[in-house]
Amino acid sequence: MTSRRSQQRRSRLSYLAVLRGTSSYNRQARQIRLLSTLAALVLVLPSRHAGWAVPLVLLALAGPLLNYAMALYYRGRLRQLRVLRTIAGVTDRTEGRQQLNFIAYVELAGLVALAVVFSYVVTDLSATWRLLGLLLAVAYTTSVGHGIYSDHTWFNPRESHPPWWHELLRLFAGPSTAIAFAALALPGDWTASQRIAVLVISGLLLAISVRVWDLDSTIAVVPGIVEEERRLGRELVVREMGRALTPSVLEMERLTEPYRDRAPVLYELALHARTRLEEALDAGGAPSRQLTIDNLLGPVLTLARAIGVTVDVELEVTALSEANAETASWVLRDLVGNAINADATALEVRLRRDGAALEISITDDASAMHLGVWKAPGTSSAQLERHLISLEGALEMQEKEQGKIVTARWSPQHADEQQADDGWTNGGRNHERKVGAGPSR
Amino acid sequence: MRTAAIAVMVLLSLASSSYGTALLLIAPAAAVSAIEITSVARHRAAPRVLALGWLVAAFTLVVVPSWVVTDLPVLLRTADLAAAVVVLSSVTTSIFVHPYWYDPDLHERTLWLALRRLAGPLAAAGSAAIAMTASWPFEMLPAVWAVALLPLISGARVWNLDHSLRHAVPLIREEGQRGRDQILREIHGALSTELRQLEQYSRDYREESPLLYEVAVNANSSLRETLTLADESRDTSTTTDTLMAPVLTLTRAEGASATAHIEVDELDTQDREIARYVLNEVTGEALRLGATLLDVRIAQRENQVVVEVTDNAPTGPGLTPGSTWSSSGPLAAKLAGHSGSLVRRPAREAGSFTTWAHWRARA
Repeated sequence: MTSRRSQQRRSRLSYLAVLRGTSSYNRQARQIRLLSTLAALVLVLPSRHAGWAVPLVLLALAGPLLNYAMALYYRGRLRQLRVLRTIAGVTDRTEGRQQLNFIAYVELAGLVALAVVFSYVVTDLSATWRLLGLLLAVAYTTSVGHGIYSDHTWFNPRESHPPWWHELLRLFAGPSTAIAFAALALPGDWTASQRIAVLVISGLLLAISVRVWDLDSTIAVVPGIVEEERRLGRELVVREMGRALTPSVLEMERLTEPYRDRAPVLYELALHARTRLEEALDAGGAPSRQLTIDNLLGPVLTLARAIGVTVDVELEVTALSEANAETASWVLRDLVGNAINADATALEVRLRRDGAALEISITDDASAMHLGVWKAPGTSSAQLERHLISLEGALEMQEKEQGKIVTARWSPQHADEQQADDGWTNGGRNHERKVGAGPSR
Repeated sequence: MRTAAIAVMVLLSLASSSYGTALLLIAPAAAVSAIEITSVARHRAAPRVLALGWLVAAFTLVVVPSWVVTDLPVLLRTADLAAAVVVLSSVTTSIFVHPYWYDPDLHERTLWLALRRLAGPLAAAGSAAIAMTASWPFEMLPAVWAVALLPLISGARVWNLDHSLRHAVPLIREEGQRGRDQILREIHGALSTELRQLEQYSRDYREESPLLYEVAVNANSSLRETLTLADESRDTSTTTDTLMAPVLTLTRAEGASATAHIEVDELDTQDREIARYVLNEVTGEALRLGATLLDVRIAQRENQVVVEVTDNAPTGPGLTPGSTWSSSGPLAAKLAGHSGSLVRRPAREAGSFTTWAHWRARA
């Protein structure tokens, strides 16, 4: 059951939604911890046992201070401090994973220290004073609990096999923390009625579960709304495209019919345009599922051949993952289209794997685009380049004596994509494999 | 949760000698709960009335453990207070996380927004004011304070929801936009080259079949216009300003630049097609002759649609008989068929020319 709960919660979109809010949430939670500890420090000072209490409160203060220092470190400051570099190294190893990082352990020690101080150490202070201190410890603990149980890592879809008890712990985050806190504080030096007060104050930690439930229920609807918005966006475009283009494209096919024998290219183009439009509108904007490179090349090469452009194709990879097929399709359409529009008469299309990267190069005999047009803002080549750069790739053009070579290169983002791309090595058995979602897409 | 809390309060009250008064004070909350559960209140104004009813009833509940059932053992009395405060917190949260607060069509007054922001503290202050003015054993005071201040959680929940949505909404918008971009790219990628080639090929048969060429121009331009749907605020590509989209694509492809002044809000479908054709022909010709700057104006004056294109192409008016700009060319002939004409004259700026195309508007 815990595994199902965990899987239901995890998705790329939920993860991103929580991740985006994490830093601002952590900033405010850190302030709460800092203020609670400073107030606790003021409370223990009048005690005769301040010599014991102050170091313990300072231990609690170390957590938020370290947290604050690390926030500055990640913003590029305090880089010279070796201790922060070491903590960053340790923290980065657990980033995105469902594991407590070093600072979380310090803060857990801090909350224990605060509970101990007001239950066992400053016993000479008045009960009201000590219970107030315990309230501050609860505020600190609530903030740490929120940080742990509402963290984005609980939504990380790549965290596929966390220990089963993690989920159980999160399910009962509030009650278990409250019980643990009460178990720590109650045996302290309290009278019977003060113990009731300690129990009530510990009960406030149930708020951790409230926050977890609120977050889960809010985030649970995000993937559904996103899908709905995507669908609406696609439907709008399909509707508008259909309305704008269908009459003209059908009319062109009718008007070119008499030229079928005299100008077969004209008729072929009109026919091709009508077929492509129908295909695109029928697909309703669903993402391309054409995973073989032959399928991707088909429409582009048919067009090239229809207008008499000779095409030579060399493929080192024959199957692509869904995400890479989409990029390859974009590259082929844009670059072959540009070559044809520039009056190329011969094309060489080459798809190969260059180390970890995929590379498509188009060689043609047409002149290069004007300077200032190629990859200029707003052009399709600029959009394509932006996409390739986001995939750690590039779009480059090299002029030749007669014509040019345009090369598009990008890196598959995840190991499983690479395996899917290598589907040709095992007879394409990986073709139906789903591409794992990830935070950096 | 509210119903369960009320039930707990009823049971605890029965253990007190003042159960009559206690039950009387619990009755409003029970009544509002019953109305809500049985969906008796279906009137449009009911949610607001219910919310107000719940608020009054919830504060009344806090009175019960504080001032009425004072003979109960202190632990039970505190539990009773906790149940009352749970109802108050739940009511406050329900009111202030209602979808109403996120409705983009409703603009709340600043006072209401401030009230929402302070919902937790205000509810906590209210419950503390009622509970803490009552008599409690001295040593229980911190615990009672802790319980009385529980409604602060409502404020935290409102804050949490706002915080989650503040970051989720842009994500939803961006991801939704990706859906649009994807299909635009798919369809544009599938058709762009075909339609452009069709326009080029049909140009060779323009004399023989002017309609074929016009339809090809229209299709190609329409495709460019649909690219404006990439703008998330757009829900149609057929507003008059999108007429400039193909011109901008064309000028960008030639390394030139264009400015636009669209002075008409709506055009009939046929007028729109003529305008597209005029823009394609006039700007295309100007670019072919070396223009680097274009200024386009589309307007409707009385019953005439007017397209003015000022360019810096180094060629005077109507120099080539039968060319696009000449009065005997196919464009002029088409405009004449729609009670219009085509004129090209030197513009005010030295070295520039303005081409005027106008025709009788359909609507």
